[in-house]
Amino acid sequence: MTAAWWSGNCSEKLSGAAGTRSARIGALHALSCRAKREVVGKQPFSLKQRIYALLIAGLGGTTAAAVSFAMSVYEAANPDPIPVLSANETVDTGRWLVTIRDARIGDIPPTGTKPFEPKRFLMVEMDLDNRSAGTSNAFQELVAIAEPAVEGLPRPTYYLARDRWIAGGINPNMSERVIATWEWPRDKPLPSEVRLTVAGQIYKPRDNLYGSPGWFRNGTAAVVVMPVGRKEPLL
Amino acid sequence: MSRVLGMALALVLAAAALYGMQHSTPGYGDITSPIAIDGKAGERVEEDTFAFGVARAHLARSLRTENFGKVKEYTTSGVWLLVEGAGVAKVESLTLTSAEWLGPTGIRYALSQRFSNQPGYLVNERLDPGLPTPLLLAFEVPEKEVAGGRLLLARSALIPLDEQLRIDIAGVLPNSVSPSLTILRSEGDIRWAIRRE
Repeated sequence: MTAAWWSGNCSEKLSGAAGTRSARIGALHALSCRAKREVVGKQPFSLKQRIYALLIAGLGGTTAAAVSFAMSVYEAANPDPIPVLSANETVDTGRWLVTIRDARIGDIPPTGTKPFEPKRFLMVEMDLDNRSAGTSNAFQELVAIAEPAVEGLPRPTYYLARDRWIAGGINPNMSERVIATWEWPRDKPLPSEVRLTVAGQIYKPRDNLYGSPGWFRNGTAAVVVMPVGRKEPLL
Repeated sequence: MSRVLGMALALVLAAAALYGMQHSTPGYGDITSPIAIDGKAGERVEEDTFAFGVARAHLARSLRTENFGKVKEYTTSGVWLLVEGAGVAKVESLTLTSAEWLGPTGIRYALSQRFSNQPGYLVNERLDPGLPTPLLLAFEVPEKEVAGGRLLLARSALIPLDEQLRIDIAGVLPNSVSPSLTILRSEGDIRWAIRRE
C-alpha cells in the first residue's frame, strides 16, 4: 500500500485504522497530493513555457561562462604591471611588508665567524613586518634572485640581525631585520647589481582542497633592483 | 501583479537564505580546531595525554643567558614573557611541540625559537608518565598583548580535534617589566635559575 506514497501516485487513496503507521502515511500522502494539486495542478506548465524556461536558463549559463572566460583571457593578456622598486621602498606582499635595505658581498657571514674554507656570500638585508595573525617563517620563500641567474645557487640562509644567528619564525606586529645570505659559487662572477623578485601571498578563508584557511602564493608582488656593495679585499 | 511580486519576493528570500547559509557554515579550520581546556596558573591543568601547571611568570625588556661563562644578550622590540612550570605525561612519553601566547586581540605568538639549547626549555625536554619535569617557556610579545592573554599548550599543532590547554596566568604575572633578566644554568631538578639584575 505504501507504493502509492513512494511513487507519489495521487489517483490512489491510502487509508488505515486510526493511530496506526499506515494511517499516518495516508495522511501525509493526502497532504502532499493536495499540495501537488494546488501548486502544480492549477496551472500546468505548457510546452511553450517549459521551452522558454530551458532557453533562459541555458542562455544565462552560457553568457556567464563566456564572460568569465573572456575576463580570464583578458587578464592573462594584460597582466597588472609589476612595480619595479629600489632599495628602502616597502613592498606589500599581502602577508608581509618587506623593505629591502642593502645588498653586499663579503667573505664573513652575518654570524661574524669567518668560515675555515674561504667562501663568498651575497647578503641582502631587509626589514620584515608580519601582518598575519600568527608567527610565521614563510618569509624565507619570498625573495629570490632573478638576475644574475645563477644555475645551482643554493637556497639562502636567513639570519636574525638582532642575534647574528639563524632566524626562526617572525611574530606579528614585531618588525625584524633579517639578512638573507646566499653562498655564491666560486666559479661564478660576482654581481655588481641584483634584481630581486618579491613573491606575494594571498589569504584564502577556504582553500580549494579542504576548505581550510591559509596563505597561498600569489605571483610576484614587486621587483627590487639595487646595486651590490662590496667589502674589499675579497679572496 | 501580486503573482509577479510574490515571485520576486520568493527569489529575494531564496538568495538571502543562500547567502546566510554560505556565510554561517563553519569552515574546515573551525570544525577541526583544537578543543580548549581552560585552567589557571597554580593549578594542575589536564588533558588526555599530559598535564601542565604554571608556577611563575616574569616580564623583561631583555634576556641574558649564561652558559659556561659565555654571556649572550637577547633583545626584543616588545617584551620577553618567561613562564616557569612543570609538565607530566599521563600515558606515554612525549614532547610538547606546540606552545603559543594568545594575545587579547586574538593574535598568536609562537614559543621563541631563539634559545635552541637552553636546558629545561619546553621543546628540548621529554615528558615521562609519572615523572613531573620542570619546564621553561619564553615568548616575545608586544607589551600591550600581555595582559588578558592565555597560554596555549598542545602536543602538536597539526593534529585536528586534539585537546589544547588554555591557561590564564594573570594570577602570577608581575605588575612591572624588569629591564633585564639572566637565565643561568643550574644543577638539580630545575635546570635553570632566573636572576634579576
